[in-house]
Amino acid sequence: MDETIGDSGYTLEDLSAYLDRGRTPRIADIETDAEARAVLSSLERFGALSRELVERETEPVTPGWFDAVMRDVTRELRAGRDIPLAAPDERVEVVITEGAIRELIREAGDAVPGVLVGRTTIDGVTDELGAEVSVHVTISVVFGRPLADAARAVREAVTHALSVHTALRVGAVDVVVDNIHTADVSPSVEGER
Amino acid sequence: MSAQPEVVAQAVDDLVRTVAGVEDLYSARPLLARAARRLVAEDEPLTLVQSRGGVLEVTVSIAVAVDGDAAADIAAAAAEAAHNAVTGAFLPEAADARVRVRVSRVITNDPMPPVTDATSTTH
Repeated sequence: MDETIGDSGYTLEDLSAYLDRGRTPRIADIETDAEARAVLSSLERFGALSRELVERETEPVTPGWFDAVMRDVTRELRAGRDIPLAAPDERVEVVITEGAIRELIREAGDAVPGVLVGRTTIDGVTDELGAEVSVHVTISVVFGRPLADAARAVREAVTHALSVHTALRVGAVDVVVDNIHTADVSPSVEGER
Repeated sequence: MSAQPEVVAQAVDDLVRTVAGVEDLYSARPLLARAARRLVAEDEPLTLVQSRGGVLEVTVSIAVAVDGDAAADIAAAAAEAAHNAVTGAFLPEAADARVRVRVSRVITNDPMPPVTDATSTTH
């Protein structure tokens, strides 16, 4: 995988070291590449913030700080794309995260008796209000429940949830039954969440 | 009378929290800045208020609890509340303020549509 920044031919680590050297001697490939210059600017801002923190003689990092940061990281990793919602006027922009929509899909599917939702994906370009998407859901169905019926119920529930709570147009909801479980919850399905 | 961005941010936090259906607020700051600033200001406002080119940009990140209401309607009400809070702070840039509301979580309490609960054992 190419880890170089822009067309500079230098990695993030290279840029960081270059910045530490005071950007001397000047490397033209970096200084003339817009993406590399943007990364240098970000690194400089972060460095300034770090220095500010040191100068303010902050308290030692508390254990709770790390937990809070990791919660933030987890939430941001799950957030995915920002998908537009209808806004009351032009002064305002309202979006919902892809992660929130995936959670909606999961809750809608899990509400169907005998069904546990595994993986969910939302395919389609979602930059515009009212974009059409297709949804892919894998489910586990309790032993004894007709599979086609369970899949149809999940499809209806997901379509309903998305039509009520988002501005997306649902073109298709593909439901794949990839597991059968007994009344006890299948660990394999739980593991996919 | 005017207010500093952090005062405006706190006012937005307070007003958005009163909107029916807004269950929680999250920090709207970028992750890295959030982690660093948490070291020195644990109780800072969650709303992010920035002035760019003379235009005030306000970003709010919320969780909504839907109980028959649409998440979009709650978010729109939150956006309206945020804008009112900014306008009420009398900042020079407030008139053209841009408000961005990000719904980061939807908690569903509303019943889903009736679904077929067939109990046949035929697969």
